[in-house]
Parts: sequence; C-alpha cells; structure tokens
Amino acid sequence: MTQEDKRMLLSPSQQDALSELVNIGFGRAAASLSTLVRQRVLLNAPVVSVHLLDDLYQQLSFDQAEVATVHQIFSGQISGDALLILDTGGALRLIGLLTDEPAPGGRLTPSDREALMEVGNILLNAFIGSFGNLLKVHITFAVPRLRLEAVTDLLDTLAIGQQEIRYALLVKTRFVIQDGQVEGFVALVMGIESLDQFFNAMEKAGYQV
Amino acid sequence: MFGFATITTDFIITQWSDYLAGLTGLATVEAVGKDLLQLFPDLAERGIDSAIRHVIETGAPLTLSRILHGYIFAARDGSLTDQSANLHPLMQGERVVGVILHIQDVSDRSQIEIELRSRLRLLEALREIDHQAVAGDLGAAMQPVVDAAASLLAGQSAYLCIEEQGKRRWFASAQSALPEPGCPESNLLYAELKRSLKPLQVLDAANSPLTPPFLQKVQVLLAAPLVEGGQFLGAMVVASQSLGAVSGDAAAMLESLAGAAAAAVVSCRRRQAQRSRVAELEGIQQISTALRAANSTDEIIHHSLEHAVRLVNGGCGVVLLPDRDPAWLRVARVDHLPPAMEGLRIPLQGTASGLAYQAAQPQRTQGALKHLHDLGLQVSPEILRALEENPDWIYVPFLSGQEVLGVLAVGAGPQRSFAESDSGLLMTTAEIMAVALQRSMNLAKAERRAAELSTLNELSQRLAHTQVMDEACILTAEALAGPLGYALAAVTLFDPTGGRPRVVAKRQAGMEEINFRPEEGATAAAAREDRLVLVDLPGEEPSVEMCAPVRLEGRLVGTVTVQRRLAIDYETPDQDTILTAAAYLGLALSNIQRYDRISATAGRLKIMDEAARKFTLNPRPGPILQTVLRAAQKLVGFERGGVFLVDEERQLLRPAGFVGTAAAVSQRLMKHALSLNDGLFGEVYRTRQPVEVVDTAADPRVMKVEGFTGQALTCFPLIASQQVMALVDFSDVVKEEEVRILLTTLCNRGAVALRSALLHEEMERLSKQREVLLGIAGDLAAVADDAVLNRRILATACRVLHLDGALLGILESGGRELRVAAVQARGEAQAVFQVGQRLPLAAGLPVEAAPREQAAVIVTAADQAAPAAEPLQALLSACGAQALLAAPLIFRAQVMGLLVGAWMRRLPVLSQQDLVLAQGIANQAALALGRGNYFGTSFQE
Repeated sequence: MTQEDKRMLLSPSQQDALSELVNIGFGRAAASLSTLVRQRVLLNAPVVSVHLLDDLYQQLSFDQAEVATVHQIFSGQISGDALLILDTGGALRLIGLLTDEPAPGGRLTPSDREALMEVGNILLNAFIGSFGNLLKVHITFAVPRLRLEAVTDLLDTLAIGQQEIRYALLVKTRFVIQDGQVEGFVALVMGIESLDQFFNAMEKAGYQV
Repeated sequence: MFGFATITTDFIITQWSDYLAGLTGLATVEAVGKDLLQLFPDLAERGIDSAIRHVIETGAPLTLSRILHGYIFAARDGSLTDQSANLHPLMQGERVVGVILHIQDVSDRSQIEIELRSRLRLLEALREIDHQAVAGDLGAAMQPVVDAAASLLAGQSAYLCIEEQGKRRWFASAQSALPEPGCPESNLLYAELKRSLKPLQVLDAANSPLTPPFLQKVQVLLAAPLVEGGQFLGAMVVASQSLGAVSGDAAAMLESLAGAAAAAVVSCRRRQAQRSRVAELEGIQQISTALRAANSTDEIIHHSLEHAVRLVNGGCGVVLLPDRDPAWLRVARVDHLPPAMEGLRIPLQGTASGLAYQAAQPQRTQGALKHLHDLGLQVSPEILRALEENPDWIYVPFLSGQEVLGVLAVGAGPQRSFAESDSGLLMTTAEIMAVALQRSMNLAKAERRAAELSTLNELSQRLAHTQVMDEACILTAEALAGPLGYALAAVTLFDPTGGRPRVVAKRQAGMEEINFRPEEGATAAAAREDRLVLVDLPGEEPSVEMCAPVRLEGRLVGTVTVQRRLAIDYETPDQDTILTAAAYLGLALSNIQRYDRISATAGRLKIMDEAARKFTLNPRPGPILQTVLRAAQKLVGFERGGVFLVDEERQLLRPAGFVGTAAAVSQRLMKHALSLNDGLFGEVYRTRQPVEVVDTAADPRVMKVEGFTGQALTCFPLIASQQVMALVDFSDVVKEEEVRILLTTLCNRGAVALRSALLHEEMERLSKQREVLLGIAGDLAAVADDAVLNRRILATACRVLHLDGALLGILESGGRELRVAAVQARGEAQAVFQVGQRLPLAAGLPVEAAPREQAAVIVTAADQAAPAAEPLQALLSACGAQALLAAPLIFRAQVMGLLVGAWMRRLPVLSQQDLVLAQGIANQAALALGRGNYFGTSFQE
C-alpha cells in the first residue's frame, strides 16, 4: 500500500468541501493573527488530507528530528487535539519573521516559546472556532501547551489512552510574513465518532460531502 | 511579579489587583467599574482589545507574549515593563461572561534573555570570525567583527584597522563609510591603543583629542587594541551617540571581539602563509615535474627560468652561464626580456651576477640598468627599456656540489619589490634546476660515453679485420676525427732504428688545415715520457692537445694525438677514449705483427715442405742441392747464393749450383772446385757451424768473387751423420732466429737427402759395376784364343771406361819392360804402340808390390811424378795422351802385366770408384789371361 493509499479515501466532493472549510478557517486565523501581531500574515493551505493517526508520522516530513508543537485540546460536539507543528528551525524562523530579529543560538528562549504559543493559540482558536461557527457546533478549548519533542513522542502522546480509531485532518501550512515564509503542519486529531460528526455537521451546514 | 484584572464582556473592570494598581498608579477603587479601553486606550492601538474580544468570542484562552506585545500596561511614569499576559474566559455555563487578564512582569527574564541573546550573538559572531579565519579570508573574517561590534554595542558604526606589512587595512561596519586613508597616522586614539595595548572608553568623544577626525560627531567611543602574543596587530573602535553603548559588559564584549579579531588575523595570516607555502610548494612541484620531463639542458634552463619567474610573480628573468672567457658570464636564456639579450656577455667583476657566481651566494640589487651603464656595456635601447622596468633583481647561483653552474636572475617587475621569502624560493628553484642540469649533464655524458664506447668498439672490430699497420693507424685517426669529434687526430709511428717519427695517419674534422708536428707538443712529450700527456696550445682559438702512447707488446711504437678546439678541459672520459684508442691500436698492431709473423712462418714452412717434397721426388744430389739453395733464398731473401758439394776425398768443394748470379759468373764458378782446407768454407767445414759475415770487405777469411760476393755473407753447412755434405753460401745475413732455425733444418734435411742420394748413386754405380764386371768375366771366360781375348779385354775397357785407346802389356825383364800384347784404338784415335813392342819402364814396376796396392792409377801431364807412377809418366810422354790409366794385371798375387788406357783429347772426370772399376776390369782380364795361360800350359802338357 503506498502513502497515497493510506490516506482516508474521501470522495471528490468531500475533498472539495473539506478544502473549502479549511481555507475559510485559515483565512480567519490569518486575519486574527495579523490583527494581533499587527503584521500582515498570510496562511496558505495547499494540501489537505485525512490519515489514520498511525500513519501520520510518515506524513510529517521535517528536516529536524525535534519539533515545536502548540497543542490545544478542544471538546464539544466535535472533540480532539489541535496541533500546530513546526520543526525547531521553522519555529525560530517564524519568531524571527514576526519580531524582525533573528533568534541567535538555534534555541527557543522562554520568550520565544511564549510568542510561538501565542501564534499557535490564535491560529488554532481561529481555525477551529471558524469550524464551529460554520458548522454551527459549540467547541470549547483547553489551555494551549507548547511542547518541544520528537515527532514520535508527540504521536505517542496523542495515542495514549485512546481506545477508538483516530484520524488526523492534516493541513500543510505555509506562513508568509514579510519576505519570508515558514512551512509546518496543522493537524486536527479526532476519533472516528468525532470525524463522523464533523462530516455530518458539514453536510448539515450545506457542504456537499 | 504578577497581577490580574477581570472585565466583563463590555470591558468593564470588575477586579483590579494591587500589582496593577501599583504599576499603573490607578487604585482599585478608581479602576473597578470603569471601561478598560477608556482607561487604557493604547490597548486598542496595540491590538490587545482584539485578543480580549477573541477570548470573549471563542471562549478559548489566549496568551499574549512579551515578544509580540512588549507590555500590556505601562507604568505610571510612562516607563515600559516587559510583560506577558494570559487571557482566560470567565464562563457561566457555556456562555462567556467575562475575561480574566493575568499580567506577569517578565522584565527579569527578558533582561536575561537579552543578555543571553547578546552573548549568543557574540558567540555566533566569534564563530563566524573563527570560521572565516579558518578559511583564511581576512576580509570575510573582519567584516563580522565590525558588524557584531556595531550591533552588540549599540554603536552607530564600528571600525577595524589591521596593520599588514607596514600598511593599514580598514574595515567598517555595514552602512559605515571607510575612513580616508592616512587618517590613522594622525590618530591619537590609535597611537594610544598601540602604546598601551589596553581598551579605551571616550565618553565625551566630541571634545576629546583622542577622537579621530572622521568620528568627531559621536558621543561615545569604545576602542580596543588587537593584540596577539603581546604584538599589536591593529585596533577596533565603536562609535555611538548613546551612553548605553558603554553600559554593562560592553567593554568586555568589545575586548572579546578584539581578541577574536586578533586571533583571526593571526589565523588568517597563518592560513595565508600556509596557502602561500602550498602555492610555493605547488610551484616548486611544477618546476620539479617540468624538469623531470625535460630532455635537454636547454629545456631545463627554459622551464626553470619560466617557473622561477612565475613562482615569485616576477616580471622577467635571465639565466647566465659561464662564458668561454672565464672573466665573463653569458646570457643563455631570457624570459619576458628582448630575445636579443641572449648571448649578451656580463663581466664577473663589478656585477651582482658575477658576485653571485663567484661567491656562490644569492645577491639582491636595485637597478640592473645602472650596473650595465656603469660597466659601459653596449646594449640596445630595447634591452635598456626592458631592464628599466624591472629595477629589483635577485641573483641566485645554481650549484652542483661545489661547482657553480650558472646564475638564475629574476626581476621583480614594474612597481614591485621582492619579499624576503622570494630569495629562498629562487634558491630552491636554483637547487632543483642544478640537480636537473647535473642529471641532464650526467645523462648527456653517459650517452656521449656510450656513443664513444660504441665507436671505440666499432674501431676495435675494424682494427681486428685489418692486416696492414698503416691501415690500422688510418682507421684510428678517422674514428677520432670522425664520430668521436676531435678537431684533429694523428697517429705517429716511431722508427725502431732511431729515425724520425712517421706520421702514418692524420685526419681533421673541419676543412681548415691544422698543423701537426710530432716532434713537438704533446706527441713529443708522450714519446719522451711514455705516458698520456695534455698540452695547451695557445692561439687565437686556444686548443688542447692530448697524446697517448701506443705500445706493442710492451714497447712504445707510436702515439695517438688529438686536438680539441674548445675552451674546456679534457675530461676523464676523453682521456679514457684516447687511451683506449691507443690501446686498441697497439693491440691491432700487435695482432698484425703476429699475423705477419705467422704468415711468414707459414710461408716458410711451406717452402720447407716444398723443399722436402722435391727432395723426395727428385732424390739426386744435383737437384737436392739446387732445391736447398732456392729454398734458402726464399727463406732469407738473399740476392745471390751458391751451393757446394764436398767431394769424396773431403778436400774440395765442388760447385753444384748458383742463383742470382750472372750466367758467366756461374759458369766460371762451376769450373773451380774450392779447397776445404782454408778460408771461410774450410772453417765452416771444420767447425760444422754456420758463419755470418756482416762486412765481407773486412773479413780476411772471405775469398771475394766478383759478381758473387756481396757486402754480407752467410755460409751454412749441410750436415748428415756428423759429416758436412755440402755448404750453402749467400750474400746476406739471417735476421730472424726463426729463419735461422728453419735454414738449419733445411740444410740438415737437405744433407740427409743428399747423403741418401749419394748412397743411392753409389749403390747404383756399384750395382752397375758389378754387372759390368760379371758381364766382362762371362764374356772373357768364353774366349779361348789369346789374341781374341786380348782384343776383347781392351774393347771392354775402352767401352766401360770411355778410353780413346788401350793396350795390354805383359811385364817382362823383371818388370822393367812392358811387352805390348794387344793394342786397341777407339773412335778416331790411332794406335800409338804396336803389338810386340817392348816399352821400357824407367823405374820398373815392383812386381811384388803391385798386389799390395792393387789399385789402378791415373796420371796426367800436370801431375808430379810419384815414384810409383814414374813408369806410367814415361808411357804418357810416349803416347802424347792427356791422361793415362794403368791397372795392374794381378794373377796369383803377382803382377803379370798392365792394362793401360789413354785419353787423348780431354782429361777424364773419374772418381775413385772409376778406378776401382778399372782395377776390376784389370782383375778380370788378369784372371782370363791367367786362366788362358793355365789352360794353354795344361793343353800343351
């Protein structure tokens, strides 16, 4: 089975609906982010796909082994884990672009982490919040956390204690700030039930899925 | 420190903590119930209100970071404290009813992070400096230094000045202009840093005399020297309008940067030195490689010069080699100079090149042109121009062992001077060049030597095929003047008798005639001292002459002389070549001589064999003696000679043959027998030893014969069984021992053959004699009549003894009368006596004595009358014969008569054996007569 085969098979209409929803969410998130940091921030979502959680590792291709993750648990009719995943270099570059001051030393300082958490926080809130608004479902958010760990550790954390089959809505994300850009991933990890409700909600909201 | 506030969804403050009250100066009672955005309108300007609204709208907590927002609330005095905030929704059920703002003062953390960030930047700058220093790029290494200095120290601009080989090199931070050249010289700050080697802070820079002119408008200067190992390398200065630049550990950072810069400078220089060294080594390697591939001296000089100029980035170069005139050097090759300069002669005296050559030490001068002018050399304007453009020169000798082969000179080029290291590089190049030249020369020598040896080998082979001495000498001279390349080659042979030396061969390489006289120069010296001699021949074009002696079986027999018209010394191979050629020639002459000797010996042995064969084929005395004489002539080569046979009585020598003499002389000599009792022949006969007379005129033993006797004479005996059988006489002396031995052998063999021949003849004669006598006996025995018997006796005697006439007489009257019993005339002769005639015998024949003698005698008119022959002398006179034979008729031991025979016209040549035969006939006659008488008496009785 190829990597392509391991994707959850979505119908073309599901794929289109999902892409539209994601792009709307990213647009709102970018607007929120721009307002907050008082800079023009663009968020692109060139690729949207759904995978089994077990196969997520193979999709997260980074140059560095350690990644910086802003992790926020959301709950409600749809529940799961929302993650902004950047490799360490990408995180530093993103902070550098936002502050116009490159971070020396190749390491994230506590203030850098705080800023990164703010960016991830606003992005994920705006993104998922837009889902709630569009799909007319109520979603609550837990306090975000920033983690610096290996991808495998991250995925292990997501899998621990979960009995049901979990899927990940994976959005390849590109931040475009000033003249620079940073690539990363936004992932919504949900159980099969939440995913089913997610698509039901989309259908109810008038999306052809 | 932290504080909090709660607001409603309408931004009405419901709670206001003491921290916020203290921070903002707004008491809780003053804040609570008020609109947050009205109290702090800047929150909306900075987007904080959006964050709060976001929380209200989404119910999601939110973090506001210090980095993105700096602060939330400003202090009452307007100062800004680093703050971060967490916004949490206040929920009532699922509805957001308010927001709690949790404000944290993170200024301590921020300060730590700023310092940490600053240090990290410093470390990164240092790492970058180190990285660039490792790369060896001084410019790339220094730029991060000034950039980091300007950045870390909050300076407007930063400058760095490096002292490099007496010059200063400037660097400025980004967007700062480089100061004008020459400023540092009038810069007191730079001088103070160089003097004190310590950092400086100038707070009121605008009014400080230390401030450089180009930094007059700044407020603060931070400066630090670049010092490494106690050595001042340069200085760094940071200019700032803010006193903040000198706060904290700015000085320490600047010192760190200066230290890193100093280390980088050293590292760069070391790396540049390494690169330079590597480049030099590569250059040297290239030279070495190029020279290894070079096949000739010219190529080596060409490559060496080209690479040497390139190695030191020179502008031009020349290679000078020793001129023929030892007081001068000659330009052998030029690089980036007019080709017409090649061949230019530079004197040793008064020139740097000459000094380098003579002292075998490198020299460096300024102004080669000036030297040429001073020396008064005539050079073309083109050369003068070229030299004028290259004022700085290094002259390096290249040596092989202690010998200076030449000088390599390189000019620095226009507007450039050599570095100290260039001299070392050129010396290394010169060493490689010298090794290559030495190798090339050795190779050339080896090739030349191989060619010489090949030529000598060929000469040896050609000499081996030569059988003529003069031809061997010519071959040797041709080889030396031809392939071996000598200007002149001559071979002289000496006269063993002390005469003038003879120039057998003289060859020369060129067309110009070269005089050569063996009585002078090296040839005369070599002949005198019998060793190799070298002589300088002065003249317009000095030459060197070398002469080696030629020895034949240890004797000096000649010389080989060569001349070379080059102003170089003969080398050992030259001497070996000449000595070898001379040795080959000597060996060839020896072989030729031996061949000649062997050939002569073979020829002589052939002569001997032929003589022996003739002895066998014609074993008669006459031919044998003739053979001996002619063979002797062939062996000795004399002009005239003769051979003489010893007669039976060993009293006389009878001529048997002559060669080289006129016919008349031969005939005359043949008529005269020579005595063996005296003279030279007598001595040879007696001593049985050969005699040589060098000067016959001075030797009294020699009987000179006109037309036969020469100036010298040799007489050899032919001896067989200790008896001299014959003598050979010729008009020369035997010069070689071998010929003498062969001649002795020839004579001995001839003597043996002669003796055999004589014995054979004797046997033959005796046989014939016996046959004759038996025939006579039988013939006479059959005759009964006395008269018939008498006539037959006489007829037989005349026939056998070749008598002209004969008579048979009977002795009567007691031997005083002879009664003619029978007479016989033969041929034209007339009978003188009558039968019955009584012939008186003057003295009478002793009848009893006759048997004792029992031998026939011959008397001639010239003989002295012996007592026994007196009766016969009377008969001779009576009949008028030339010679008379008388043989007694003896019967029963008594002489009964005489058988007398006469030769009327000539003297007979009779041997003793003829007399024996005559007596034999007489005896048979006596026996027949006696028997007839006996039968007659018996018949009568």
